[in-house]
Amino acid sequence: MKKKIIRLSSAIIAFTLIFSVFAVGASAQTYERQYVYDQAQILSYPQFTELNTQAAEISDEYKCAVHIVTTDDPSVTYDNIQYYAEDMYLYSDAFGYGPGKDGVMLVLSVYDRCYWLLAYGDNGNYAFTDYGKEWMSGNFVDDFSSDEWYGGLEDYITDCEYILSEAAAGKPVDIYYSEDTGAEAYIIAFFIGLIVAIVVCLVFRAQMRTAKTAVRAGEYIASQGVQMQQRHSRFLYSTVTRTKIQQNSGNGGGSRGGTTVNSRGFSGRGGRF
Amino acid sequence: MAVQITNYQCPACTGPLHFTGESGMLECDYCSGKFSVEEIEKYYAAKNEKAADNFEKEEHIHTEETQWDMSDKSSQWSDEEQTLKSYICPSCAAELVCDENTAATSCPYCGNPSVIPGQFKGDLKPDYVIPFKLSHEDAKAELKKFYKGKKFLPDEFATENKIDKLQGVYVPFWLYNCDVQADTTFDGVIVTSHREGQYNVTTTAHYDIYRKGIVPFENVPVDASKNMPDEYMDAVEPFDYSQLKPFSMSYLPGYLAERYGETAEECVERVETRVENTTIDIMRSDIVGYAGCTLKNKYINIRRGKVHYALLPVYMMTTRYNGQEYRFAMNGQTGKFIGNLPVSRKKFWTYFLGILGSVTAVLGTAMMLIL
Repeated sequence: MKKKIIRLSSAIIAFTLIFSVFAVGASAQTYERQYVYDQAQILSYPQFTELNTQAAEISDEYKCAVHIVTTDDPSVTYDNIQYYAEDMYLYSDAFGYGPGKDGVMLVLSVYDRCYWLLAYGDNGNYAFTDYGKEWMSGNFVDDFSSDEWYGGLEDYITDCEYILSEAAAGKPVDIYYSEDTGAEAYIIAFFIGLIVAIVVCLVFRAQMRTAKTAVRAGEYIASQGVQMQQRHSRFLYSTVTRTKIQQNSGNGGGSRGGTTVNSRGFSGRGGRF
Repeated sequence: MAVQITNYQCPACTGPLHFTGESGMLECDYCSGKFSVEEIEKYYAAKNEKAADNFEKEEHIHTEETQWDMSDKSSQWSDEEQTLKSYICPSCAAELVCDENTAATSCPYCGNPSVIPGQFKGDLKPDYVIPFKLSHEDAKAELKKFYKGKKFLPDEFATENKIDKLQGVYVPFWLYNCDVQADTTFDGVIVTSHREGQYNVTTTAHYDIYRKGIVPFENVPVDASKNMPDEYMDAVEPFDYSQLKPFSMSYLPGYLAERYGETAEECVERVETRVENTTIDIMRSDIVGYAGCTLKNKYINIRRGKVHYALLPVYMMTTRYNGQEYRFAMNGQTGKFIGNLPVSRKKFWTYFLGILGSVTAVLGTAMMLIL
């Protein structure tokens, strides 16, 4: 039932999007397609134009659509933003590139301050790995947290271009067992090994010296045992510390390399800002 | 100057007797006769008393007999020489030179075990003795076991080294009884944490915790020997006090024995440190439910009780390696073995680098695969 409602709403949204194409006016006519849908109206017109132009150029160059959708719809929350984004992408012709609908899309819910970043199609999922999406999220979430919408979206477009260029070169942004990573792992392992070696050798060394002065006499407590005469405790004061919880956007994506694709053909990750 | 000492001789063949821990009896080296401690005590009671009473007289007679021209002799004795005493072996009449505290020894000429009764007279008489349970052979076997599992022990040390000296010694110990009254105050903290929106809120509550109690201690041992290293004697503890027996010199033949070289008052600081530390530990362990607990104030009152004087059985061994002497001690009752061993630098670095290399390789590869 929930899915049906969401899908229905996405259809309405899709209609709204198509309508917005005409609403954009002159700028929309300049390009064959629109890539940025600012329903929340968080961008100025020049900002919108700039982002849309960049997205169009990148999409055409790498044959993978780069989309941005912003919404202030209160019904789009952190709990349903994934279905909202996927339904919208899947059931609207406005999204994706070519017959395979390859593309990447960032959906921002300004109302619930959450986002969903998805990729679709063989090329989209190949280029935008789980690690790649995680890396991108880390770059734009800080801007969104401080309402720097344009800055965050600009980072997103820039990162998309970088990721697509790397994928085009046959090396998508992902976790590789590169020499750097290997060196780091071995440096960390070396220091852990150093601590283990010191501890083990100290234990072995201690076995060589067993003649030690006694400083306790626990074995000689008389059989009648300890007599506790008074026990009491008194509250003195308390201190309170408040620590801000690190924003964790651990929804979707993995950390073992590659791209995790769900049964609908999407890969994605989301979080709050 | 020389003094008379007593040989414990077999009532049947006059051969030398020695106490055997395994049988708990005095055994004759020649006729294999076995005698209980009580039998020998009775047999020698009068003889020992007489020997002790004649202590001064015998010395005087002996001194008079040796009128030599001493004009060329150096006039001053060194400190070490002044702490030496000489005795006449009743078996072969050789002169034995011993430490002033030596109470039982064996003659280096005829090998007969000898006891010096005067050393345990009056205030010097021990209250208790724990007889040796384990033999010299047991001590040698334990030494070999002690070498096992010591990763840094040089191979040559275990294979080539020989025992220089192996001697069972009745070591003088003071056994202290006391009640320790403790008034202690600790600072305790309880830490709770909960989430409030985007924040983790941690509350640390501080408490003043008071504990008062009495901890009774029984027979805390402190070695009273000047010759034995304190850390060795502490480390061979504990002894099984259920086998404490009223002192009898009949347990001594065959072993070295010393009278105390440090008085009970001189050793009291060591015992008080031990009982105080233990009492504070007990007060601290009574506090539960706190994340941390720090001692703030303490008032310790030690009610001193009886002090007993006991001879406890310890095997002392020395070995030599690379020109250096290594000393070991074994509890002659329980077999607990302690000592300090040499460390092979080669083995140390082999292990160190081996562990470092293995951990780095395995962990580094695993981290690469996981990350």
